Amino acid sequence: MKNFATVFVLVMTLLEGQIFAQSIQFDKVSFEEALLKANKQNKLIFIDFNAVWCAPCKVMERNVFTNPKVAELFNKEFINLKLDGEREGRAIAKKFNVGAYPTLMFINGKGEMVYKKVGGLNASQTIKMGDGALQSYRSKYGLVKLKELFPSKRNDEKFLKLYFEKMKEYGESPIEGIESWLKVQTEIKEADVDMMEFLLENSKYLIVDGKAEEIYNTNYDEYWDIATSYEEVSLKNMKYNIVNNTRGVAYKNRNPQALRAFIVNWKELPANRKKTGVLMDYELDYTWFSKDLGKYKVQAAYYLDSIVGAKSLKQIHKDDAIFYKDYKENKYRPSLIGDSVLKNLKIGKEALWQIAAIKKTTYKYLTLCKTRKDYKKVIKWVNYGIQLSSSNYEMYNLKSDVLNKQGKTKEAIKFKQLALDKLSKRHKKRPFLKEELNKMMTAD
Amino acid sequence: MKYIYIAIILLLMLVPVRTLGQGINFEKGTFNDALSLAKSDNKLLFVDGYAVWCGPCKKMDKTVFLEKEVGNYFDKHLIAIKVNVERGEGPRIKQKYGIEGLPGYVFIDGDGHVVYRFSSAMPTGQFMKEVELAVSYSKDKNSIGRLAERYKVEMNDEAFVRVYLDKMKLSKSINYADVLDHFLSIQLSIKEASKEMVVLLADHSNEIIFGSKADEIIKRNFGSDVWKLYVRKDIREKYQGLKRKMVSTTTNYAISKKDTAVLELAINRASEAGFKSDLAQRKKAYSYYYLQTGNGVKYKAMVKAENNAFIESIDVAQVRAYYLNWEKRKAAKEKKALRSRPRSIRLGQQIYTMVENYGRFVTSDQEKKEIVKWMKVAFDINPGEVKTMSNYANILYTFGNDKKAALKIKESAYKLAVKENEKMKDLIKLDLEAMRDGKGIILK
Repeated sequence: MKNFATVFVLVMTLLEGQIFAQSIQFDKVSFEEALLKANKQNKLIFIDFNAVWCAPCKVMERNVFTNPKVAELFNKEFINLKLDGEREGRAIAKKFNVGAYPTLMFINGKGEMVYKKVGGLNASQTIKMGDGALQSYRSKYGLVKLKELFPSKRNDEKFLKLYFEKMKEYGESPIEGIESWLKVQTEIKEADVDMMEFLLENSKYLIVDGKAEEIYNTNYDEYWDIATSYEEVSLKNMKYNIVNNTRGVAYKNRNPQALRAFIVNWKELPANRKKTGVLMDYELDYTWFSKDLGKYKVQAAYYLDSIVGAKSLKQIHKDDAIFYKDYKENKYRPSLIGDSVLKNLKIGKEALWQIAAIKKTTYKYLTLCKTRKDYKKVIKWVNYGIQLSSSNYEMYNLKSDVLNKQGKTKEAIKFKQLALDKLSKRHKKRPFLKEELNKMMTAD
Repeated sequence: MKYIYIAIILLLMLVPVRTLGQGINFEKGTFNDALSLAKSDNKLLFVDGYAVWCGPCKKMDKTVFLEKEVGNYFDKHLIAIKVNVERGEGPRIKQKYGIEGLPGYVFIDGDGHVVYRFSSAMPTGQFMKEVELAVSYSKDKNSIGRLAERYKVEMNDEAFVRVYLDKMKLSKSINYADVLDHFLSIQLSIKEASKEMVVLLADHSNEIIFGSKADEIIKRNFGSDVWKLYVRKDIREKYQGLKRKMVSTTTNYAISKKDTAVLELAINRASEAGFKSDLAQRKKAYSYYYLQTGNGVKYKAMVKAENNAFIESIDVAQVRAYYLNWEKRKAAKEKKALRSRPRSIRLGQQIYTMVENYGRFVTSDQEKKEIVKWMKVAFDINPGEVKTMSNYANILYTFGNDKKAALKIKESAYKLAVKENEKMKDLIKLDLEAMRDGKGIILK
């Protein structure tokens, strides 16, 4: 009997041990509670920002968070939270500027970020990330400390180098650090091959109107004399990368000055380099970022009216059909990308572009709607959008949201249902629309 | 009677064509026969390295090689021989004379010195230009052969060795690391910090090994201001790929000298080229070394357990089921299936290579049984796949004790290959004929 008891106890401990050892234990507490806990225990919070539709998140959940070694480290060192950045974790995701999933973030007890990685990782990378976060937290050059020191050390070449290197390591943007370092550094001659290599290596962190661009322009010919044929391509592209990086910074920080700098440079690009984006749309975003809402309303209405009036629907459908046919017969090759392009072109190239433009601008305009006249305009644009494609759900969904805001719940429900009908069973947006529909129905 | 006339006329029409020898007349005998013929006729030996599945090789056969003026030139200056680099004495010749890329052409003088080489299909004009160059090199009083003889006595004459090195570069020689190293240790005319040195080392970058004089010079000077002036454009490209190249050059050098101390150098410094220097890498390097130096005892001891573990790690039933299902999906024209290849095919190829390598050193019946068992796994997980069937038949024929069964499998593989119009049907046919004649077939 004694033996039996021992065995029983052993099995129980083993079981329990296994449950705890085999996967990361995510706390079911709120972010605020987690902060308190982190403060008390002098630990970091690990947040897995995920989304329902995010496949790499699911892979990590299944294969990485269940890895015993990962679990051991994370359960020991961190308070682990799992947040859907589009649902319960929305506010926190916004606060920490989470724009892609999964974002894996470490936050200290004061609510300051100390380490971040974006994108799916495997188990060994995850362990490396955990170690990196601890190092950032404990080291005297942790992310928080470095950021604190940065404003007072803008002439300290050594510090700045460490600063931008650590920013890269911790998952923060090194752009400002690199710019500051380039301004004061004495380590590398600007015309030297080492500088060329530095710029090539960091080309995704360079922006317009700064020291980096100046060095690039001044030494382009010398760099060209050094570059291998492979580097020649990167060197040429760097000019465009610098412009596009600026757009990235502008949108990430919602910064009107950066966006203006981008627009000025973008206009100068050769036509084949500015296929994506439209000037009017960038200008609208600039006004929006500048918070000049009155102006935005006027500009947006003008923009949408111009889209609606530019070409007849018949002409659009005709042009799109020709483009689709040409692509299918002459350019299409079966592949994941090829298939998805073909599917989109079937709806219509121009039609889809217009739908996207209407969707983006109208949602913003909707927040500024006051009078019945405003809403009338919106409905006009949306109705036009609906005619662009009978198979796309977005315009139906938009119309539902407009009607709902007007308080016309019954009609809104009808259009939400129509939008849902157009979505495939496994479409990533389906759960959201469903939720919105349910909300309207219960409110009704 | 009428038929006889026709036959005679037909024969007459055929005979002159053959005897006039339009096009290149390839020797039918062995490589050594052709080589002695070249020596006695005082001609240059032209080796056309090909493989039965090689499209460009066939293209040359059907076009350039048939042309009259090409044939005339060859009759006058060259003895030509075709070498199937995958069969018979082919692999040995390929290895010895460094045939790389197919079709690969090597020009060898009567004493066995490679005078020139080039590769790939090309139009007649370009082809003949290269051939004439080779012939002129062989007639040169400084031909590679004569220089090689002179090197034995004049190796301490700096000016001479430089001429020899230049010639080796022109004739695209390989495996002369010793000469380069010797030159660098005796030469006094080229300063390390000079353009000439930078260019010289770039020119011979394929012959630089770790621990050599060139390695030391590079270590001392790379990144210096003077070198930076000259390491540009294509020379820079050479230096960028140098460390990687050095790893393979050093490994091959170790093999040619059967010197593990040199191999150690290659392994220990592989990290400089961005490779791992860990235990697994070391094991890989050593097993490759033992394989290439023909040290069967050590090779087998090194890989046996690993091979067995690899075989045991395969879940035959599951992998086989996946393959069968993939075949079904393919037949139903499922897009995803058409685009992908099941893992079993890759596994099957891995097993075949493994068995081929190991097979070179098996001695006992026990060992033979074991590798046949390994190959059976490849066969079982790819039911009905042509290449695996054919490979399995080869192994069964060579190492098994039921030649009839092997022949039967080979026959069905051939039938299937013809039915599916597989590229490798010619290759299978060659093996099949050898098997029917009871001859040995060459694996590796």
